[in-house]
Amino acid sequence: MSSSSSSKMIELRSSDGETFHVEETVVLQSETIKQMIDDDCANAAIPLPNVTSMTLAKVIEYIKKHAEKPKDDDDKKVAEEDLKKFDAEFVKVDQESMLFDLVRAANYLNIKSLLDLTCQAVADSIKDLSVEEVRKKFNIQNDFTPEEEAKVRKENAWAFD
Amino acid sequence: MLPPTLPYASKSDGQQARKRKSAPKVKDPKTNQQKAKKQSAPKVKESTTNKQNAKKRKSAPKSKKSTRNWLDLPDDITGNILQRLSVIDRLENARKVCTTWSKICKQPSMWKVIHMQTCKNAYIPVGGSIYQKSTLRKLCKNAVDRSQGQLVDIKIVEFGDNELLKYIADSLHGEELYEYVNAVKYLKISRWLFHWLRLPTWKTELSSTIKAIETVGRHSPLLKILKVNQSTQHLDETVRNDLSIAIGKNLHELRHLELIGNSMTNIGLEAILDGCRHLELLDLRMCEYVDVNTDLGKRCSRQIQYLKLPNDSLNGCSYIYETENDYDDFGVDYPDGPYDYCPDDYEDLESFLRRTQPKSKSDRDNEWMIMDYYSLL
Repeated sequence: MSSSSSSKMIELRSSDGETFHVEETVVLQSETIKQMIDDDCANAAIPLPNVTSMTLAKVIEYIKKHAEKPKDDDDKKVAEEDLKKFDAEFVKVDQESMLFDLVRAANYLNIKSLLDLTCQAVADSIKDLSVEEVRKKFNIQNDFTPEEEAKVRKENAWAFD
Repeated sequence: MLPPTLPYASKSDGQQARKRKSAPKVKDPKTNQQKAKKQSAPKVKESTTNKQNAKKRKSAPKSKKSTRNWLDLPDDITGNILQRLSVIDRLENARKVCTTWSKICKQPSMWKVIHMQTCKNAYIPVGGSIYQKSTLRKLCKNAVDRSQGQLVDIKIVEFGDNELLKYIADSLHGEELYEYVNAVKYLKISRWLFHWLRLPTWKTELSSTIKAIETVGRHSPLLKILKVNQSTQHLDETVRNDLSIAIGKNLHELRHLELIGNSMTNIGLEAILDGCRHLELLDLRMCEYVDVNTDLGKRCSRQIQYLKLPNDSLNGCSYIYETENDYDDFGVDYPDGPYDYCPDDYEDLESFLRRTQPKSKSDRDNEWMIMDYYSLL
């Protein structure tokens, strides 16, 4: 994680002990870390017990990209387009687990735009799926009792009369 | 839509795990290391697997399949995700997946925004199913019921009918009207509804519009944006200015007023200019009876920063078109008309405000309350 800028560097430590150095201006996108910095708790490495190194690397990639500032208005339009593309690519992960980890990390680190992006990606991935397909995709057990399930299914059934 | 909260996911993980006795996740070992650590005591066999798994993951993080337990997400995050699904997906699928999702979908806040639409051929393919309009209407009612009065934004495209409209109106007009009107920040209803309301019974419509405006004036005096747009209206002289007068009398805080196609004369215009002193944008396009080549017209352009005159082009107007076909047909009741020209019937509020650039910055920060009159009928 190298950078030539003179901005203050903040050290983050993932759950599996790996450390990352990120410019303070970049990392401020995380409300959680911002709070820690404001509270003067960021002099040593900030431990992030809920975020693995793999997820953290991905999060840092995201906030770095989103910290880039366009020079002028023309540049701004290009940058906006570029950012859109980046976001679209960013959530194209092959594994559901990665998306899951990103949602949790975004929530834990309180990065609203990343949370929105990842939640939308999850929603997009389950839209139009049947109940069974959703369960399978996300490893969710059907924990309704038969009576409950019958009731839930019945609730809308009248709409199809 | 939901505020990002609860940074300590691990805590709620623990709660979730305890709560969900009925579905022990035997086949579904925790990969989260924290959890592996937490679950030390009770289920010996499982917890060892967890630990091993956690270790494995550390060294070889690229496992083939998702083994995360999505039910470990805090409820508000799951809610955030499910809210992004279509109304039909939520009603038909999400709430039937498991008890947790079912519980989340029961929260009225999940149904604050109801956007439903068909494609133009009266059927909408959703998840391979074909829904008839009548089915969509019933599903929509169900969603309205679930909102329990928390509805703030409803949009129904192409499948509505009178009965559904009444149903929604009843849910707005009951005893909770007071709260409801206060809760309305931005209520939009699709063009078909606009058409529907423009049936020949304009007189009753006018009086209920005025009633609605009076009600809003009483209960939500801070209303800032009002749109009462229609194709040109040719009202009887005795009532021509009633609407404008009601607006001037009741809505003193308006900043943004659209009255496209209104039948008012300069009398009505004066009532507005007198009553709405803070008005910054006034849209008078197609107001044929307004004469701006008068002193009042001059006053109008002095007082109003962003003024659109009766003869201005309708470009950029989202639901009245200049193309002849559309325009000629406008007053005719054709419930299945060619609405596909404007998929998002209404202009996005933000883009509108950006284009019209309200005078002061602080105004932009204020909460803009908007009412489209036909949404309250």
